[in-house]
Amino acid sequence: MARLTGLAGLLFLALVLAATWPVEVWTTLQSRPEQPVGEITPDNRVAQSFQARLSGLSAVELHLATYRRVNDVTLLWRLHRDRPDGPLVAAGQIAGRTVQDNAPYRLTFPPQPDSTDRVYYLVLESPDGRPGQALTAWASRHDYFPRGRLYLNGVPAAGDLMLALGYRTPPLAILPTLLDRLAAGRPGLWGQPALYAALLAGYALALGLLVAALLAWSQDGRSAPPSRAEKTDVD
Amino acid sequence: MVRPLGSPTASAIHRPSGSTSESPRLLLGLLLGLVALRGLLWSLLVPPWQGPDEPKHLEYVLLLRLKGRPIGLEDASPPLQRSIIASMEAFEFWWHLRRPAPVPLPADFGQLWPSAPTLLMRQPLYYILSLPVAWLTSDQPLVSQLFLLRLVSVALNVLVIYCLFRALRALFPAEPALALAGAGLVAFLPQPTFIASTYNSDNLATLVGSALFWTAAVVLRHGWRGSTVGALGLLTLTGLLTKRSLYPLLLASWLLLLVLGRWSRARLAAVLAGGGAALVLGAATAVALHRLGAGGRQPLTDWFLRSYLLDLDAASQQLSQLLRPTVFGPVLREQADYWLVQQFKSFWASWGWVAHPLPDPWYGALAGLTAAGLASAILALGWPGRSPLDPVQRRGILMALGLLGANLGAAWLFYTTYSAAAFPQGRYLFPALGPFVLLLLVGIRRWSGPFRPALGAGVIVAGLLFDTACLVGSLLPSFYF
Repeated sequence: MARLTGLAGLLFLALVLAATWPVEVWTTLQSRPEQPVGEITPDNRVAQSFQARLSGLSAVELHLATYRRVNDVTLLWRLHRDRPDGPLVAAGQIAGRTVQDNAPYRLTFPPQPDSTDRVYYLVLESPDGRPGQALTAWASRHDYFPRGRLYLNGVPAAGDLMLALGYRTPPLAILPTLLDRLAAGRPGLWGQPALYAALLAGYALALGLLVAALLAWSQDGRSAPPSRAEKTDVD
Repeated sequence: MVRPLGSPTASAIHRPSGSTSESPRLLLGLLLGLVALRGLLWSLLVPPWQGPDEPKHLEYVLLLRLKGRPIGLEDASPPLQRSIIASMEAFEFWWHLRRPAPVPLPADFGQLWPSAPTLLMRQPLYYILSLPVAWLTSDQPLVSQLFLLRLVSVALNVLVIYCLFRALRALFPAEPALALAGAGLVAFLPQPTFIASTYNSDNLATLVGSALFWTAAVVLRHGWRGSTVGALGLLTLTGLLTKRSLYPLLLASWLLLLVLGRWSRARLAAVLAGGGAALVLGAATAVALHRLGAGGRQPLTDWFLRSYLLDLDAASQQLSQLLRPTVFGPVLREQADYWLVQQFKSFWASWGWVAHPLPDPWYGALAGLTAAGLASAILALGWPGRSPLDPVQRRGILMALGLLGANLGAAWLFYTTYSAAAFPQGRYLFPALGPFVLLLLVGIRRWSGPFRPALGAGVIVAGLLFDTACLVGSLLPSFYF
């Protein structure tokens, strides 16, 4: 019994740690590589807006392509908040030689604590890009992603970049957002975030109970004497 | 083919010590309660209309309630369809599918799904069973009705888990840990839980398949009896009224049991009586259906027979296409990879209208585990290693292979004439969840020795961890982040 209590205590501690320790959460916004956005050059500046869905936005992943060649160019990226020329969140540069063809490329930056539902603009530029020596990024042909827009040279274009967002945040911090979204627009009782909180808590509790019962059962199985016969007629 | 009864079995000789039958009962009760709670939770976590074909299933039951008689294609109601489409738009249906929302919204299901606009010609039993809930909730908003109707599927899933436990218990009576592990494993399979938390007739098909497997296990263990013939007859009738994808499974169950089941001259009279009772029940149902339908525009039996004949016609066309390799061979070869991969993915986990798969490495690991488990189960037939199998268990494995094959073949057969973009989804295999999990467990048992509680608990906890990872790492982010 003491062993079981100890195990239950450890399990609870692990759960608390897991709920409060920041973890990386990834969400895919657009995953269809239907067309490249064209060679990124001074004449072809690419931008993509998107709405972050959680707090702790810390990475953006896009799919770059090289046209099956080595491109000796530099790709500059900037992330702005709220507007295309809004506050700069992060910036960096990518050496064209290091880019793999048709592969994901991850841009990382410090977690943004207030990113929930905020709009961001990712801008891609290549001052030394030129026809025959330039990178590109994969996009969709149609606008699959209503909470964002692709811009070519500042003009809205059809489609969206292939994009995934990474967040670094404790699961517990996500919970209020999740509960609100579960309840959003639902009628009556189903519109109450408390319903989902109660159900999730009840489920977690029931899972804990099952695991404890399974542990007790396996202990019982080890210690029970061999003479305890089995019932075999089961139909 | 008369086999002697009462001979000692390997399972009776190789009993693992210390495993009790009382504990599994308590644990089974706990597990079933958890399955119900979990189903309720998932039914609310899955956004409205994100169950495959959920709008069409809801249309069916609402029309059935509205008309109060059997319905057909001619009963389609554009105003009802428009109200469903408006609700789909309000709950971001197209955003969840990562597709552009149509502007303006389609006027009916025909515009929205030109190639498969309706399910109104389908078998009615699932919707008839849902009618009490539909009546009770008729004054609720559409989405509230949907959430409450989803609970019908949740309840059916609890019965599925119970049937699978009993089936495995009948096959491995000396290893209650194996039965509990099987029930627990299926309870925590993410995709069956996902489908079981949506309004979809597949859930009744899964229950019929699981109950068939239980009955088959009892026939294998105890031989044919009047009660088992009656149960099989009842399940056949239920299956015929549930979903056409069950027909090959029903046929395979009968054929396999006629070959593999144990016959006893002493019980012949009882078996014949059971068979007779099943026939009388079938005839009485047919008469009742006919009378029920007589008040409508079209007697239900006419509709029923016509529907089946049409299905048989379609199936024979598909079969003939399969048998013409010059026409179909290259296409099949091209599609087989795609179908297999997509079906495998959507068997384990792919949310919504198969729009949100897991990351590919997860499927790689699952494919490895599945292949190892199934290969080990087949190996166990010839070389049981540390875990001898009694003759009933051997026949159970053969039965499971046959049922799984029949279910897989049926799912593929129905898709041979569809467009290349369509594929048989993993949920079509759920009626054979019992055979699948039996083979996996026998595969594990081949290497581990007979199931002890610690191993059973380990299997369940592994399933639980995988399921939690799917829920937290994939389902919630896909729909809400």
